Amino acid sequence: MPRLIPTVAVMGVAGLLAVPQAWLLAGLIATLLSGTPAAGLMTPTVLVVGVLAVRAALSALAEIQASAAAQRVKAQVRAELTKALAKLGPAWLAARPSGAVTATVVDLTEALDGYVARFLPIQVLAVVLPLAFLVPVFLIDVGTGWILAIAGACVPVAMGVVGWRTAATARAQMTAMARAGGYFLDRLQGLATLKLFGEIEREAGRIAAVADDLRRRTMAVLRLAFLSSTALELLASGALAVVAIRLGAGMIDGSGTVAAREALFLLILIPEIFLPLRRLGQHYHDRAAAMAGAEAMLELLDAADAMPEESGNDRLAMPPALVFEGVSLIRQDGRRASLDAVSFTAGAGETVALVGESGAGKSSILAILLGTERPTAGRILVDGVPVAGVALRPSVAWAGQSPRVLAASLADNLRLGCPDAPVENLLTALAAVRLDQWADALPDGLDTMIGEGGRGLSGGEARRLGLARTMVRDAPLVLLDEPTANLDRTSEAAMLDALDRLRAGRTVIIATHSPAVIERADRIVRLARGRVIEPPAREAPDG
Amino acid sequence: MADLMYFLRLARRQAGWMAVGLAAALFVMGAGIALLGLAGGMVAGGMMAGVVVAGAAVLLRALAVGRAIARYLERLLTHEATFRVLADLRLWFFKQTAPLSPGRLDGLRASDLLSRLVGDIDALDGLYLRLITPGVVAIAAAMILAVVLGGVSMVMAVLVLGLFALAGIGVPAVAERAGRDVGAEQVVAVARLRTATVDYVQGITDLLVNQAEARQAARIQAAGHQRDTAGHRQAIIAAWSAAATQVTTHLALIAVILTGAWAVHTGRAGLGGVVLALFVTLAAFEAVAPLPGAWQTLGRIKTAARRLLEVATTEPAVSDPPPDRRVPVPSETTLRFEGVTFQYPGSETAALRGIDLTIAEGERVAITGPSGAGKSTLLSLIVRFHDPDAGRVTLDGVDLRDLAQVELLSRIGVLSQATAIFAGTLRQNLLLGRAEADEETLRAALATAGLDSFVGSLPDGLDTWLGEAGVAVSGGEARRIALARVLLKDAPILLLDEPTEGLDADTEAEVIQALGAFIEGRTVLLISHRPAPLALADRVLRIEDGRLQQPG
Repeated sequence: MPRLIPTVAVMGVAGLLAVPQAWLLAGLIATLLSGTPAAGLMTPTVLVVGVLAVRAALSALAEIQASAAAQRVKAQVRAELTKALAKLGPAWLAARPSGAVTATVVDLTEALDGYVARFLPIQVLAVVLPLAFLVPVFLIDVGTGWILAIAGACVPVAMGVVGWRTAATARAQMTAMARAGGYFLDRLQGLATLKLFGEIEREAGRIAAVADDLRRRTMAVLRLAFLSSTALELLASGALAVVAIRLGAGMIDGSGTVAAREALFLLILIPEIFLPLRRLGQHYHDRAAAMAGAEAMLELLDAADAMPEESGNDRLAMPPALVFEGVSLIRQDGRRASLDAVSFTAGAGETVALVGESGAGKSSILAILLGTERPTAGRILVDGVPVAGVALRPSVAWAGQSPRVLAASLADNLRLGCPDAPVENLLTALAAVRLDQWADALPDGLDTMIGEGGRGLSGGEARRLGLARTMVRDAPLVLLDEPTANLDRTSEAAMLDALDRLRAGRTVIIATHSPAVIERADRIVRLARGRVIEPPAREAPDG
Repeated sequence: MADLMYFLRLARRQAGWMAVGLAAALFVMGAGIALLGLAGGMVAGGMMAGVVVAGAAVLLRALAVGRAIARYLERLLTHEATFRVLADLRLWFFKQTAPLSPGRLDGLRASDLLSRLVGDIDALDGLYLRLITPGVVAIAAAMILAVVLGGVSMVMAVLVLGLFALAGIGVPAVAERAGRDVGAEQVVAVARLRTATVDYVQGITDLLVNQAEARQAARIQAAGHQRDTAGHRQAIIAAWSAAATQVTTHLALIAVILTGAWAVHTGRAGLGGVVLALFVTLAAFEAVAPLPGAWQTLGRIKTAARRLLEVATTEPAVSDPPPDRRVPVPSETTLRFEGVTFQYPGSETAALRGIDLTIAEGERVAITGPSGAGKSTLLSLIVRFHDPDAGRVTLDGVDLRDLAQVELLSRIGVLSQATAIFAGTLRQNLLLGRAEADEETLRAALATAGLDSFVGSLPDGLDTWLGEAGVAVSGGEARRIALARVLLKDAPILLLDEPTEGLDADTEAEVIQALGAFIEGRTVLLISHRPAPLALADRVLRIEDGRLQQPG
């Protein structure tokens, strides 16, 4: 952590100023005890005030600098995490609770703050400063020096005994925290269902149990953290007591070799010697928290590193012709083969309907074209050239079954796939999906905030927004997943009109059940259990 | 401040823990003063020859050990109290939120609720742990300081207590003022960061396909930067107020020395007293050290409290009747809309206008109409997600508003597209329908819902984990699980909201067949714009613009 070197240096200087400060203060008190009038105390007083003001200011500056370093680290880690998540993509994310992944980006990165700003600097100072303080102590009184050295040597032992269990407990608490977050999110999302089934009371019991589990695990971590700081305090106040007794007794029976000022100096310096160690103890759980969080972050980053670096081909200028050649897809959960040697053709500018029961493989075909799933066998030719992974992405527009409405303005949501689209295009798209009147009624028109925390959209409105997005994106290849499901006939007709406009000059692949959509297809691919059940051929619409 | 008092009252249940924790904190502070006072007294006593009390060495050692142990206990107790309060608060918040769903939660959705349930409640830990307990301890320390110093010199006592007030009240007040807006900004920034991140994680497909992931990542980065900047400003305030406290503490020591020297010189005080005062002052100022940092977070705590109360004090869209007006749910199941008009809050047009409709016991009525015509609103009035603005909905002649919601809902089965599949095992998801159902009953319901082969494909059968982090369930499977739940619930009234939407023709036929046998003898209201399910109904009505069209 080279960016922390200035912080550590400044903190070190501020720490070392404890020596002159204690010496001056001890001098003041000794003068007081010797009965000198107050007037003689003015010069040392000014000196003491000066030293401690400098010391306080240096400490403050060092802390501020450490905090700035922590903010930089957090921003960098967050950026890497979001980049890794994009690379891992939907298939990886689908297997993980989104609450926990969100917590990794939002909460676990925050745990780095205490680690970078507080633990790392003090880790160095906790070794250097006490050793430096021992030098004047030994010079004044070897006996006191040995007492403090022995007490200091006990510190790592005590911390080690406690520390080896801290890591595991902290990890358990982090897991519990992420799990509780995921659990709460899941239940909050299903509140209406819970209510309909009269389950709120019983659910409250489970929420209480999860919250209580979280408390117990948090306390388990704290118990250990407090134990290590207690050990430190015990050593610090024990050493203070022993030294005070030694010095006091030495003065009474006259056997002492330590003068008044020196004795007071030692007494004042003892808490300062243990201060960096106590701080280390206090911030030790910052380290444990950061380490536990780092594990989750590294898992994510490593998984992303293991994936091949990919980038999209150039955007196709013309609607492409697609050929699926014996494409198979077996998902990792091994539940069933999603696609089994699927072959079909989509001519340039054609509209192809994928038809079949839910689970027949329609969505898998779309997922492969989107580059979110990779075929386990077979290949896909685009205009005669094999493509793989995300190569097609720049040329694809997509509307899924539950388009994500981002917490952003309506305009930003529409521009998702085309950030520079002019306003006219947005209005045209809204009109095409018959959301124009709805949009006109919004308080701030296109600038109205929608999504989380903004204006909510019904399921049907979100679907239409999704289709409007694809129109704004204006890509040569359009993939639609059940575009007309969840809509009544009037709206379905509106969507079909929009679809007709979208089809012109584009290759369109639609997963659908709707007879009206199938009617519009140039080609129908029937699927069952991951296989094409009829040879792909032009056939008469069956509507 | 009223907001904070509200939360203190909520914390009453853990008052015992809090009191014990506070007592331990007071003991630790007292022991700390005694320890330093005694140590200083010993050295000074030795220097002035022969004043050391016999046994002081023993007492000193005992204090050193006792204080460390008491400090450990104090931390455990105060944290235990705090986290018990937080766990209570999470349950309280859930219970306050549940009645608001879904009528009053528009625009306030799950991830926002989550950040209140987790983040804002966490922020309240400072209230007891950092504000109240240390505040009381500091006041007690000031009293000890006044007694000890007042015995030596009044001037000294006044000066030192003035500096004590500066460190304990002045610096914290400045820190609080400086931290107020920053704290509020922190809360808002974290909520923004969480929302942007949830959008990113849950919307990753949309983002990737639209090549918009970098833009959303930039939103996350911007919200993160806002939080970091606010956090850094808090660090700056904390650093300077710690420095101010440190300087004030030492100024107090110097004040003791100077006024002490003067008092000794003029013969009004003994040296021993001055030395005792010096070390007591040093120890007492430890009690003010944590205060600026605590007060600095007050802004954040208040914002969090306000955000929690915002939700918790929202009047539910519907509420249970007072016990004296409550009527037991009738056994007859005739449903009747009598001149029902309803307008969604914030909407400009009425969703239902003067609806008169009777669904006799055992009758099956279907409603069709374009989306937005008011079909689903009819259902949401029957389950009392909302109450009518005019007219009434009755069950066997009893106004639904006179029934307890839980009892009413126990008589109604709902199958809709919005049914949630929870993260949990398939079994847990089914037991929602009937908690006491045995294996055989579950299997029968699954078979009727056409889920035999689905269950067969699951690695752990009924005990397979579903939802996020488990086996992904397709739309059709989710609908059938919801159907199985409704079958298990076995309620006399059935509300079917587009029960086959999004299903292919074969699946639709299977679901309708399963429903056909099941709805026999039940009172059914069905909503669909698809033709196939309408076959289940005795009569079909059409709704348009919130008005029922007479069949013709």
